[in-house]
Amino acid sequence: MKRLKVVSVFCAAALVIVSAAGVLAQTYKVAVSQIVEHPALDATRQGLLDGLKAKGYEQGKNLEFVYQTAQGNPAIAVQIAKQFVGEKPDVLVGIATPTAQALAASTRTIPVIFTAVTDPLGAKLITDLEHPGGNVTGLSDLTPVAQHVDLMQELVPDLKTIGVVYNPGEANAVALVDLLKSAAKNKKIQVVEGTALKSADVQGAARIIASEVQVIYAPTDNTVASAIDALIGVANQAKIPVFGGTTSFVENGAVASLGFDYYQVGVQTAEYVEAVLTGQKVGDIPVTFAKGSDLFLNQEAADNLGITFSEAMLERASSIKK
Amino acid sequence: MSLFAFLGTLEIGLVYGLVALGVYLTFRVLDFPDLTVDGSFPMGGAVAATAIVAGVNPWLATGLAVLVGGMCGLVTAFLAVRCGILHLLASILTMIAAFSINIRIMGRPNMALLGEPTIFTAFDNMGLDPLYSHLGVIFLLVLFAAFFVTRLLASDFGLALRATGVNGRMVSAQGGSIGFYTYLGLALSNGLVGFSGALFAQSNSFADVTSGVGTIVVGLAAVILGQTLIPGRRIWVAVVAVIVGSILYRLAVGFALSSGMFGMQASDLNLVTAVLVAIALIAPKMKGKMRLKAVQARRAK
Amino acid sequence: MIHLEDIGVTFNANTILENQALRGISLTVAERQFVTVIGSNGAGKSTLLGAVSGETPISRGRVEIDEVEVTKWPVHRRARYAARVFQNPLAGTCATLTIEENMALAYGRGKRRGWRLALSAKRRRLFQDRIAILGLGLEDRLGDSIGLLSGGQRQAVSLVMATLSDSRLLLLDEHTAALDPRMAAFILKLTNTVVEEFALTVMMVTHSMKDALACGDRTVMLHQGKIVLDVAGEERDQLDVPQLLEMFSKVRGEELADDSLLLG
Ligand SMILES: Nc1ncnc2c1ncn2[C@@H]1O[C@H](COP(=O)(O)OP(=O)(O)OP(=O)(O)O)[C@@H](O)[C@H]1O
Ligand SMILES: [Mg+2]
Repeated sequence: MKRLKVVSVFCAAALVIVSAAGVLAQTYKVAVSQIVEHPALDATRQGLLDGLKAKGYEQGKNLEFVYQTAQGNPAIAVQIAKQFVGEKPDVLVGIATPTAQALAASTRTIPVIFTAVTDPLGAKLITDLEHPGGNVTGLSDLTPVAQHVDLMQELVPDLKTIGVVYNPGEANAVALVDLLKSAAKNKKIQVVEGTALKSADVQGAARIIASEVQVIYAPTDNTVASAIDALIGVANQAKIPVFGGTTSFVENGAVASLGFDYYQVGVQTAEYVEAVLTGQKVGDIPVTFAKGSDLFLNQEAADNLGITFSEAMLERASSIKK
Repeated sequence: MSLFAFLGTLEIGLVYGLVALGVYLTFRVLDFPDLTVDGSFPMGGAVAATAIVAGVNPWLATGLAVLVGGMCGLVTAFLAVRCGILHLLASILTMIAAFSINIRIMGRPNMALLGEPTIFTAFDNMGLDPLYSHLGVIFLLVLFAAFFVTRLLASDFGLALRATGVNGRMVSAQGGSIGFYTYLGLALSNGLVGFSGALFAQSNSFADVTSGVGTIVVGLAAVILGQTLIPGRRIWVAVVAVIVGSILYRLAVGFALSSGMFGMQASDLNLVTAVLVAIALIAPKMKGKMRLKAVQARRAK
Repeated sequence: MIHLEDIGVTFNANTILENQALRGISLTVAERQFVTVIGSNGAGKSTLLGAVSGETPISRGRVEIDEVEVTKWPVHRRARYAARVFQNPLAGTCATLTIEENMALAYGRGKRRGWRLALSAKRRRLFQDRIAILGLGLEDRLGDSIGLLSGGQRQAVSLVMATLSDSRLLLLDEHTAALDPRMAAFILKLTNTVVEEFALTVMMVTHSMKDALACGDRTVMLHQGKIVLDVAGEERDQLDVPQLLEMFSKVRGEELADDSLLLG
């Protein structure tokens, strides 16, 4: 009996302390739902976390940062969305299209920030880029594909054919390949497509097109990203360069890339989250396209393939892998 | 688990209950391991979403999804019955073909329905809380499907369908065409799955070609889980069991997702599924063995 | 009732396994005739019944049932005319269904199977009445799974099932072979009763010379896919088992003689 009393007193004391802490410093809860785990999206999440820290929201102090991945399965993305909305966080962050859609469909009140969504209009997340209006806004990662084609031409002066491996089942990838085709058409360059429905098919798809093309373009496609090493392996055997749709591919052996470091995309996403946490109305925050197009070069890969970077290129580069 | 998450989980469980019903019809009733569902589920969503965006009445669009789902089943049946392709392989062929067709249907891999009219819109406009009204509508639809399947299996047609999976030779000796029942059984099953896909797309505001991945595993898990926990030979018991199985499966997933519970995370889901199904498969045997041991012990005395 | 014209069945044609199971069989069975079919193992008896029921695809010839040509009809279409009881009690019933469900399945033979309840109160009463005739007490166990019944009980139910719809032809392929002697005798007696009561035309395969003569009114002996004996009427009445056995071994002896000739 006595022990029970002690316990209850202790509990009451603990309760008092906890609620006092709540009054002293408000903790914000940010819930992040990510469709699948792969380097680019993971980097986005890390960037978001670090970006928030730089703005004074530190995990474990005044920030509760919860995160789930749907393993590529939209039904799980929906369950994660329901779970998160039920937890009533201050901000929901959806990384990639289906997760953002699942979050947006689950709440009309909690702010939803999407990121790494290429076509937010097509995904019906918003109806107006400048003035989203509802509880959803965010950052699009529409790749600067036209610039990519320019760069590939700079790398391979006599460029006639570009190969591209992608998953026709991914909304982002299809949009990118369309952009690539129209950019290439303007320069009378042919695009040879290799399709891979799952990461295990990437290697085979690369093999098929490798003999017909001068450079392989690796888009920011989740399937390709999961098998980027296999793709680069094939290209190395065929002695053709791989141009990365994202700078993280350079680390894997792509010769060059211009794009956003997804870490930086995450950092930019943190600005949206901060804006919401500081009380801005979500509907008034315009959607922007991710900026910070950094040029990444891979000297080692270039040497292996006998490619020399021009002085100008080396000058512009923000990172050179030796 | 919060109330919101709980109701949301119920909703998904009910929607996938239709998949469980379809899988029950093929795996249990027809004894036809049918993987077509991985293709007919997203196809149901794709058809409903495309039709709705094109301005078709959502109820009609849902009906269309049921029909198209059924057609997927017919294709598999055609490959198996008419072309003599091994059933598993026939269904895999339809499944991968469906992936490409789904992209054709939508013209893109992902189609959003946010802001479009759905079968729920009318209820939302009545000022009902969508949290409950959507769940209610889905519950009624699933209930209707369950009644339909139960009544169908109790009919002359359904009886022959049930016998086809057990003793095909007897069915033809009794004047039933095995081919016919295979066609209709698969159509029915995939029609239900297409229905599920259409409901999923409308309640979550998007159709996505990747949403089919693993549908068969989820359906099978629901059937096995449900029938182990609620055993019984009666049809209505089995029908209720597989739907309950689907809900329980989603609840298990939900618990795995509830932040921090048992230290689990979403990437453990496949393991959770495998363990659940394995337990469900082993449990009845263990029960049998224990009973046997008890009997032996009694005899020894 | 049955009219077979020059039926030939060849299994695995044009391979080393080629096997002519039936070599030109012509047979006409009249309405209400009860034909017993005998012959050694592999003689082609089951194949012959299969040619009638449609289960065995024939390589040549013509099959008529009830004056309708059914040569190209699949099994399930012919089922409207012919009821069957198999040698294996498991084959003729659906183990996971109940007795009454099995009966309902048989009741639907030759009818359109639609949305109607398979087990209405009216049908249940009919099934109960019919199965009560067996005197096995099964009328109180209609809801039991048929898999729980013994082989003999199942064959008995199968016979009742054969009479539930109005096909007038009954094909029996050694339907007592898997049973113990007492049960076999019971099933045979039941067969005779049923055939009488429903005025059926029957083809019954058996290995028992005694049964072959005791039952029915015509006996056909097959050997190597041909009819080597076809007796009815007075001629048959005068035959006894030893005589039949002698004929049986004579046929086989000739075969041996042929072989020795060839070898010699
Ligand atoms: N499906 C089949 N494929 C190949 N050969 C077959 C097939 N069915 C039967 N046979 C062969 O045809 C011949 C006739 O077989 P059938 O089954 O008609 O004999 P049976 O007279 O019924 O013999 P039993 O008394 O053993 O039942 C046999 O040589 C048998 O091996
Ligand atoms: Mg035989």
